[in-house]
Amino acid sequence: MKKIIVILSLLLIFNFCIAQKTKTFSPLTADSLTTGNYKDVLNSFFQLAVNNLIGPDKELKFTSNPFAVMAKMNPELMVDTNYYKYRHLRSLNFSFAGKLDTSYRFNGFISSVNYAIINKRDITISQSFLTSAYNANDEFNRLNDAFNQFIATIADAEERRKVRKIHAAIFMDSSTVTFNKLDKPTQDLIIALANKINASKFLNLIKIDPAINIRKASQQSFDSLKKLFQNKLLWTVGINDTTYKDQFLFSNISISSQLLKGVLNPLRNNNIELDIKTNFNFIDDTVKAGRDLKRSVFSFEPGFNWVLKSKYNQQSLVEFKFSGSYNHVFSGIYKNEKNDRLTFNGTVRVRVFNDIWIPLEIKYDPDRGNVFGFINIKANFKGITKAVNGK
Amino acid sequence: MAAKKKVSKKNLLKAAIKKVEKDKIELSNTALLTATVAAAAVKATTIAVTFTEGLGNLTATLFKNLTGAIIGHDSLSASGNIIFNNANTGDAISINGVCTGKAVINIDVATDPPTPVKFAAGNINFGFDIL
Repeated sequence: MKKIIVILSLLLIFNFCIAQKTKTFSPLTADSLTTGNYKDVLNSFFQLAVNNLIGPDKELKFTSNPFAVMAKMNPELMVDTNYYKYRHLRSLNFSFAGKLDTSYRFNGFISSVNYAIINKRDITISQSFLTSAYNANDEFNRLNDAFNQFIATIADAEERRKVRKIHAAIFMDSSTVTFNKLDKPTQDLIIALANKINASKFLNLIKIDPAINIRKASQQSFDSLKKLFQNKLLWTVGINDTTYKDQFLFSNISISSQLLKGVLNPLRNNNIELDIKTNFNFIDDTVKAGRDLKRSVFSFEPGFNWVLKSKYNQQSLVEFKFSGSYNHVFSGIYKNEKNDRLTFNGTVRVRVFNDIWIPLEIKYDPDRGNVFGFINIKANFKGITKAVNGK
Repeated sequence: MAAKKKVSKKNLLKAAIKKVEKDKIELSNTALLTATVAAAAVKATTIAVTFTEGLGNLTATLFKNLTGAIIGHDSLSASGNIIFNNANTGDAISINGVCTGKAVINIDVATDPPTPVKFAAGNINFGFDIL
């Protein structure tokens, strides 16, 4: 346990040092903004995980979805029409895991399937998101139209090329081109065009902060909207089974449901996510001879995931999850075992690199006074295009 | 020489700003449009838009050379083509839209800036001159 805490503390320090140093604005993608907890519930591409790293029941787990595998073979599937057509496949996750004992010997095989019944966080297929984003950018759209209309009226070819170059820089460069660094005639032109189209918000923006970057300002509405969508509801259901180490026969079947919903304003630097898990397990009753699934246990685990985000790019850096779990044994109760059991759980997730998370799970059993700890490593391969192109 | 050029650029822009302020650019100057279209060679222009890794929408507006009159306007809510049959050299195309994944715009005639132009997830505001 001490080892785990030392490792985790070092990772936390390392993570904050990196976060402080890296003040560059990495592009925000829907994937980069998601929490580590979300990626454990539903993965967009591949996830490779080593669970219970220093415990007796290690697990090497691979999670993906059928769409990701299909897109790897046929990149045409990434084109919007196909992407939308196969959206249900993107909501499906399957995973395979090999269980290993303390001597790293094979100790059983796990397979599972999860499906997102409701996933309102996926902006990539949301028409309502697109419409809202387009409308939120109305002033910049009209300013762009007015600017292009103005360029069309320039008769001098050389002058027109210059102004076109300035226009492209203003609407595409999100770092170096600020309004106050543009030459005076261009500034006057933009103000005149903004007045002509009654872009009052834009005029106010440049009045408050003349050092604004027009491209970045126009992206802000998109980014804010995207963050709002990360608070929306995700509900998954799944089935998970484990085999014996010496026979392809199930030793455990679990039917599960998990619900995630952001609680606080997602534009803040920290947020709280409601996380409710329900499980129904059919397990081999080891007291009885033979192999069967006569022991059934129900568990209910409501909790909150506290997400601390980088103030520079809103990426989740560290997450603390607190939950309580209630277990009820319906059948196959062991001797001296209670029908009902309550535990308190905590998970700390640290983002070591962009796609690598290290979650440490701690469970406390108030009845027995026991504390258990599990340390995992999870790598998410989010770069769909990179993976599709084999880079 | 450089100073002269700068002055001439300033004057040109000043004159243009005055033009904008006085609202001389009519949005639907059909009489002028008819005359200009009759004089110039028509260059049918196809704007091919491809959205990947997500959905997108896009609107293209075609402005007439010298007058700035709107002579074409069309929208897409998925990958596809916008065709302006009445485009000419010197006309300007304004592009506005959103994509949640990536977008590529390809125009089948010579433009400034040249195409294809790629866009990352976000709002799309851009423009081209037909050469």
